[in-house]
Amino acid sequence: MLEHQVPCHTPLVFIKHAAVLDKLCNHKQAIVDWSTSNPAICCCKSWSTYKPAALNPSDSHWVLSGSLLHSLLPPELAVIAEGSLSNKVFPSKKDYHNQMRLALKTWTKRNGLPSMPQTNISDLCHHLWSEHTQQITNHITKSSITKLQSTFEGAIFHCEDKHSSSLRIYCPCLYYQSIEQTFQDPSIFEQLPDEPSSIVTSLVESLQRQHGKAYPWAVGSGRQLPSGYNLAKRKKEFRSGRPIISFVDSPFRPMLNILARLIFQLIPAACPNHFATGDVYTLLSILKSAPVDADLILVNQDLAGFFTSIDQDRFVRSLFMLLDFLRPKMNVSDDEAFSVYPGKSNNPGDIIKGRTFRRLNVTRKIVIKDVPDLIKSALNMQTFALGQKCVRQSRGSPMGSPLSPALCLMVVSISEQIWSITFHQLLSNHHLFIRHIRYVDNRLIFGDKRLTALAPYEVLLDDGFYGNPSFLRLNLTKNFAASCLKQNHWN
Amino acid sequence: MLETKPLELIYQGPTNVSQVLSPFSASPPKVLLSGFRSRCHIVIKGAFPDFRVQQGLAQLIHLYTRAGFPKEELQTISNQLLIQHQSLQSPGQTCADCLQVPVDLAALSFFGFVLPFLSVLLVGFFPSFFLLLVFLCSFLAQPPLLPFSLPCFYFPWTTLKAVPFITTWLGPLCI
Repeated sequence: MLEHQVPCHTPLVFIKHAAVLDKLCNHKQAIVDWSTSNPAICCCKSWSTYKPAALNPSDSHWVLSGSLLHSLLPPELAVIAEGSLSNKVFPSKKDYHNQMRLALKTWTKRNGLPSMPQTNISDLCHHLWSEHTQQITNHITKSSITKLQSTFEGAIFHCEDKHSSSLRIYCPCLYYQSIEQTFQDPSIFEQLPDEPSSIVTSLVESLQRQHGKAYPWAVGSGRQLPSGYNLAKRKKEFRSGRPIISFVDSPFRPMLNILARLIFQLIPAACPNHFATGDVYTLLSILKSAPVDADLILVNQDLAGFFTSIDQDRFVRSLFMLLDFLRPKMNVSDDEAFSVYPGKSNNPGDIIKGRTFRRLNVTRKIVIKDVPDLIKSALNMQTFALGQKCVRQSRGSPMGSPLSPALCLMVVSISEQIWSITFHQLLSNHHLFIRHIRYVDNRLIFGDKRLTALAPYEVLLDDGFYGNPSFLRLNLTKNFAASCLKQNHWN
Repeated sequence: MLETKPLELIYQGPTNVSQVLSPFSASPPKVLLSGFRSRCHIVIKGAFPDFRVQQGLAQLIHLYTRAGFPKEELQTISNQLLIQHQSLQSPGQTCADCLQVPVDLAALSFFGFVLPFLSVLLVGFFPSFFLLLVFLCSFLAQPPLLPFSLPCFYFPWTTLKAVPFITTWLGPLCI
């Protein structure tokens, strides 16, 4: 290296290696095949030796668990099947050679140095590759992934809901059934006759016309319609699942990000008494403060269908209420503007693909009178591609949109704020130990048993507290924020 | 051990090898173990009481060992993080502990020698001997005086401190 003036301390930065998920999983192709009416071909007959790994052996079509396949596969395949889908794949010798050559070429060019001869780069690569192969065993490579795919030919490789890093191998018949059941609920989704490409063109034109002049950055460079996929649920025997709509490379994405950030910043200012204050550690530390000698009760509730249950009109109404709550604290007249810092996904000085990253030095300004229209435009972006088909979500906010968590949290935070204002007098007069905490859609109310006799808590514990059609469901487990609560000596 | 808190928080971490990165994955060792580090932080900051923290860390170490990482390295990382959290958490607590020792010595000399002497004069020998014994036991339950923080010494003492037997005995005897 030294003879070619490449200082040893200079890091050569490579592009991240692909994950097993990117190389192995073919669920997106499965959706395209399903949408083009390609018939599903059952694979279960050829899987009889793998039946012990089936999660639903009594059903006619199986789902195989990667971790249960461990003892049924050769070691180099077992590592992939049992391991995480986030594991990274080692590049092939050819890819490694190309990456090294390109990296050295770019580096010498950028630093005004003479380029290294090809033969020297090849020698260096051969030397490093032989050292690399001597040190690793059963490593995850593209060839072993191809071998696993051919072992289960025709199968659909994906994960399951709430097990995003665990490999599941589906019989196509079952996977197609799951797609159909998930996206064919007429109360949430409606099928459209249009093509995804025609919808995205008209969508971009409409967004440019409405917001392009005031916010030229809003539409962004993405030109793909949001795309839907499905995470099959075990509790529904993999016949139905959670609908996810991916907004990667979709138009209007920069504005969705900024609106989400804006709402997240406004919620604590407008609703200081909402239950999700602080990070998860703050919430957990509240649990530590329970008194030793009190007679306590714990009510653990989930908000059912958090993202799909809230009406779209309610989002806009909630925004106006949020502005009303802000009025005593700041000027929220129509011509005022909110400044939103785009935030940091990377720190200044981070090296990304070999270049030093500089944070975008722009603060976005959103005029208050434009916010309702922007949210309406975002909510109107409910059409997504399901393979070659187009589907529209008619209720709630799509799971996967960067704006959805902010909108849903705004609605529930406002309900909690109204409750605390309504019962302010009663809540400040009692001297009982009572705490209420919420982690996204999981709410925990615990405290002195006598709280059930108080009027405010009668309202708060009601199933319909957050308004119809969303409802609270009693969570009979004691799980909260990836932890389990254990009662020692209380009811 | 006496459990005085009405609530315990048990970390429900990953239980399956597929939930953690494999040592066969194409990432540097620091990246491969970053998940272990962040999970340790969650356990240390979230779980309570202390034995639940130890239990959570032991479970994490067991899982990562099953995934193929060396146990010694995992143990070292978890110990480092534990020490780091305690030193961040307890500058005030450490000062309080430093103050505790002279206060305890003063209390020992008063309750252990002056008060029994007075009680011998006023009441008789047996109660004062018992008082001295109880107080010496309670003093020995304190942590050893060290110029630095050692968590392995710290935990048993914290557990003993939670048992309020000193005030229970001294109350009726002193009246």
